[in-house]
Amino acid sequence: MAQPAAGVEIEGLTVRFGPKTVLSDLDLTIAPGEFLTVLGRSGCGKTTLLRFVAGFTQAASGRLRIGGKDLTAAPPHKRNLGLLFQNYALFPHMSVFDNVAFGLTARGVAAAQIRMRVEAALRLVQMEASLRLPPASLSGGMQQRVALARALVIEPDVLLLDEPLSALDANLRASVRTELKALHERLPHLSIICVTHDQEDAMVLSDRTLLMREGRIAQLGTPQELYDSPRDRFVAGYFGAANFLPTSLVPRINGHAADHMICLRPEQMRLAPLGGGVIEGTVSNIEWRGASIALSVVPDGVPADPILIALPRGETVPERGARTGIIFRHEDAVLVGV
Amino acid sequence: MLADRTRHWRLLAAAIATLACAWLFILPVATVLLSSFAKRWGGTVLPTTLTLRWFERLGADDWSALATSLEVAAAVAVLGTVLGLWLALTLEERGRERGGALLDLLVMVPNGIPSVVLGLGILIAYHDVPPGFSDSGLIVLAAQLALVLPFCYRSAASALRRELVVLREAASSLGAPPAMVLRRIVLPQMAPAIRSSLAIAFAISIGELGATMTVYPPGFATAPVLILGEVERGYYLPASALSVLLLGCALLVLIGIALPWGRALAWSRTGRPSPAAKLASQ
Amino acid sequence: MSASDAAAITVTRASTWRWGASLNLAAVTLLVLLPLIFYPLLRLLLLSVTGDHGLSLDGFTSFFGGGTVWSVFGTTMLIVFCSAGLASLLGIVLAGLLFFFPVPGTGILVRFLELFVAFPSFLVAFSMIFLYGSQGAISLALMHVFGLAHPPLNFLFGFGGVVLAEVMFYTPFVVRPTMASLSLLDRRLMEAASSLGAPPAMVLRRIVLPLALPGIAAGVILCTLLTLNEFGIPLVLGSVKLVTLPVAIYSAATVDLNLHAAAAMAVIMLAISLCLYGLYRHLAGRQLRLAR
Repeated sequence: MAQPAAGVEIEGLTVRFGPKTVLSDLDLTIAPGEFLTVLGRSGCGKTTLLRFVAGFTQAASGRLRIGGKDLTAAPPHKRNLGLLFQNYALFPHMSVFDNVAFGLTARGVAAAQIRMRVEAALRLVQMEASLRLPPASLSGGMQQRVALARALVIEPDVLLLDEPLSALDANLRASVRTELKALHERLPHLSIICVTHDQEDAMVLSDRTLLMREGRIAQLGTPQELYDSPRDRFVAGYFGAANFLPTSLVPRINGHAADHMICLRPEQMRLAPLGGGVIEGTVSNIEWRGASIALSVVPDGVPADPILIALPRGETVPERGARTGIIFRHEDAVLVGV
Repeated sequence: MLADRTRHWRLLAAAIATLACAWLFILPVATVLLSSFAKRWGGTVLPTTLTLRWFERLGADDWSALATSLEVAAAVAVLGTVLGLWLALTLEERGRERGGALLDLLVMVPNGIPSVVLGLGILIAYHDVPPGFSDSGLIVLAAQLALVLPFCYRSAASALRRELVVLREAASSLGAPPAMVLRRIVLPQMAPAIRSSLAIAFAISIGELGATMTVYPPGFATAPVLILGEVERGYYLPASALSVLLLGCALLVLIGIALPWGRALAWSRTGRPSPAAKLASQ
Repeated sequence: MSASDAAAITVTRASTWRWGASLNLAAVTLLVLLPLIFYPLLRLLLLSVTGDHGLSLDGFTSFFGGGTVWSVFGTTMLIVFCSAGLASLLGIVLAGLLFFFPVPGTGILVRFLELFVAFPSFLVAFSMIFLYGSQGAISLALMHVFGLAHPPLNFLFGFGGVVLAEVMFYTPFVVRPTMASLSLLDRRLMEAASSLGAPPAMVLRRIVLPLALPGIAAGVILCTLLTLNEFGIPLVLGSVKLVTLPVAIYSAATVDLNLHAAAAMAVIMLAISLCLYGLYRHLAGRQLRLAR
């Protein structure tokens, strides 16, 4: 599916539902061939953003350009986007073949060509054996592949994924996630916007991640950037687990304004003998997590939540109620706004 | 002990339900059916001699009334269903806000007003205005159409579920213009609702009395109007014969509407469904 | 063509696309709702407040001035009260039995109830003549069994017959919404209550009734509305002395040809019916919200 790569530009997007502002003055540029995940809690506006790009939601103000063409006001059927719905939205009264062929029929493609392209698309998702079946006879994962083939066969400028993995059970989710990644590698020119609430999707799949909060951009960057240098406490807390400690613990950044804290990931914390740690506290909870052991330690005197520590397996684990010291490398500490 | 008691209750409930069912539904129909074949019914508990004479004696009036009833009912069913679909799709597009809810309420108004009052309104509004309207069957059609509109609208609107909205969005995201979405997605998906709309409009129209009696012009009496006239004059058995014919025709049409035409058509386009497909679609 | 020109064109196209929706709404209102429903009702209203010489309330004064009107009103209300009351009682009990003690065939029965909505009511009344009339099957059977000299039943053409016919015809109209509102109930709530130790009577009183009440009330109101509006049954089984409002409107309009009086009565009836209908919509809506 060779095609000129199309980027997406969104400018000053504001969407209101009645008195409520769902998206306010959002600017976003997606490079051709980029995989962007949009992450956030329910109600943060991420689905509205996707629906605006697809053409189902009207904006109060703002512009949308795809591949340089202004599509702000184009109706959905004139946008040439592939949209994968949360529950797949396969047409129940049509066979798998007719579902995938639908978009080509709408474009007036000749019957012989339709057959060829549908079969190719179904081969791409390894569903070529199910041509004649009605979608209801397929499992959830198979339905999703058909929906993906249906969205890809029209050679869309951008592929939009709406919570693509949320309807699958945990085991299947991991393997489909891997497949999506492989698919993106096979179609390097295809820009993909993927809306999800699962941070793991964002970490595994995306070139860049857009974390949204209350209709605004909380942070936009590569998943590593979001993890290693979160802009504020919200980003740090949403994207992975985090401990927030007073700046006074790190001399290098001590003296900053009171509305900042330092952020440390659980795997950056280490246990130390009593008297040898930066912080001391009492072990309040121990959870076995398979690859690591999660320890909660209530710090003495420091007004903070219990500190989470991920201990690699094999290290000595203190007992619940034991007192312990905690250390961390000062260069790991990231200053975040509250 | 407890299970035993529930079982008794169950049996009692079954008995009461069966009796009520027989009393409410079967007895009236059976009575009309039996009387239409009775030589006479009076002085004896049940008729003693059966005959076809009441059917043979049906006159030109009766047959033309029956024909009028069927024609009007067919027109009301088709028009009501089309208008109901149009209303439902329009109001859904509009959404609940900005007058949508108000319009929804207004469409349902004929459900709340007496058929005689609605008929009177139609009569007053149109008895003189367009020539050839009030003295033809069209005024009967208009009155009955107003009466069935809420039922047709309701069945269409209840089929426009959330899933259907998603399917329509999927179709338009795949590049289908609105007309194609309507033809290939909305109408096939709404087939059951369209059937029930056709059926209820047809059935209501076939038995409609109040509005029809108020508006019908000479020569356009429907079968119920004739039946009622005969009952009031005491010609019970001829009235039964005409009623049986009316109910029989209605039943045939309703069965016709319920037959699975749609699925046969849908699959003939895509080829034969496999056994698995058949299983899954059940 | 510059880029801004192209943008302007797409904007125009989309605004016609959105404009189309409004146009469609206007069309459906002007071409369907206005001529079929609103214009006739408006003409009815206008006619009720005009006399032979312009604006007048003659229709209403002749309606309220005449002595017959109060008897028509009283008759209608008494019939509505008795038949809607009995039908509601019977319908609720029947629905409860069917819901809590489902037997094989209940599903078919419920489908049947749905079809019954469309059965002509005058045929039910008509069939009763053969069964409950003084020379009807049941009356004669009672004569034979008990050796009576005269037919024991003589109530059909009058108040008793109209009420019996309306109860028979409208009971299913209560059964259906009652069963619907019962089936909207979350069965887990009842299970939770009994797991907390509540006996069946308490579950019924504290859980089922409060949750299902608006739906049941809606069914009762609907039944009241329909019996008020019923035309065929009183026409078949009523008499000169037993005239209900719809029948009075009909005969004023088509027999006496007094359209002003007919319109005045119709407007009053319209007001009562619409009030009841509004109440019904309110209650039915509340049931849906409660169930969610």
